[in-house]
Amino acid sequence: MNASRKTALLGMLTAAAVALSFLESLLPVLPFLPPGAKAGFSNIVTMFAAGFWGPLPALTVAVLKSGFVLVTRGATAGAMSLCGGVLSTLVMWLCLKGRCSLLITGVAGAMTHNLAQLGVAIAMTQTPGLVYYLPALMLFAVAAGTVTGLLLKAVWPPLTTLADRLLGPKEKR
Amino acid sequence: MFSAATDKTRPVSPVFCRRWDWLALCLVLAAAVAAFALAGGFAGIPGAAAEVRVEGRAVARLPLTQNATLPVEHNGHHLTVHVADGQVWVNADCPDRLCEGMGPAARPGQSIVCLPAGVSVTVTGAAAPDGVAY
Repeated sequence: MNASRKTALLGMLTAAAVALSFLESLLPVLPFLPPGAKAGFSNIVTMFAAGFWGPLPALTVAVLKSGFVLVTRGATAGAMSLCGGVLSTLVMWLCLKGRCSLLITGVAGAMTHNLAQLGVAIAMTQTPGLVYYLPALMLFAVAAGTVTGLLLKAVWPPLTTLADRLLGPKEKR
Repeated sequence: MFSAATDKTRPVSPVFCRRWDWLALCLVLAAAVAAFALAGGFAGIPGAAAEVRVEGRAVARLPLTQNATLPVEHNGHHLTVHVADGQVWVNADCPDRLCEGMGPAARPGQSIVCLPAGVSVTVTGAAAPDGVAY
């Protein structure tokens, strides 16, 4: 009955995730950051979808976002985005289900995202030596996850209001 | 920090931080810093050669003692591997140039990778102490 409303919300969330991931790609690569480190701002959207809605919509957003990355930035970036996005979404959903705070959830999501991407990079280039970047990536992930957790804390109330209004009364969903 | 909304009309978001969260994060940070320091402990050992691989296949082995320039082409990407002063680094023609940011590398185990081209450069082995008495 509410299928079209759900589709609309899913589309809006995906658009937000795509926009955030595009904005992130515009950021300059800072010399003191480990190469390939991603702030993962689109994690804010998948984290919200996972916490507010459920694992399936959140994974759908993650997969659709990776599809956009695949089309605009090529197969390599797409594969990394898919692995990082899907795995971190699953981890963040588990965290929120286990009533973890947004800080812990954000950091766990960022760590999973960077870990998965490092794993893909190692597999694609057959270069185990890349694990040397792990400590630097984890340090970065703690900072990035804290920022995404803070931002989600700030946007959670308006996002929930919007989603509630769009989906209608809870009993009828 | 950021207490839950008390206004009943506003939806309440999950808490941002619980009591022991910072402690858990500090443990993670400490572990990462320790690992970082351990990896840095090899800083004094110079590497012997740069191994260049394309899609996992070794295509060249450049001794770090000899200055060299090696063009590598794969998947439509053009890279140039440079060796000079015991260091190796990479130049690329792609838009994001992440691999350029990864160099220069000089210690064993350090790597430079270019994912779009499927090219990796890894510094291997300790250099033979070539007539140097310790």
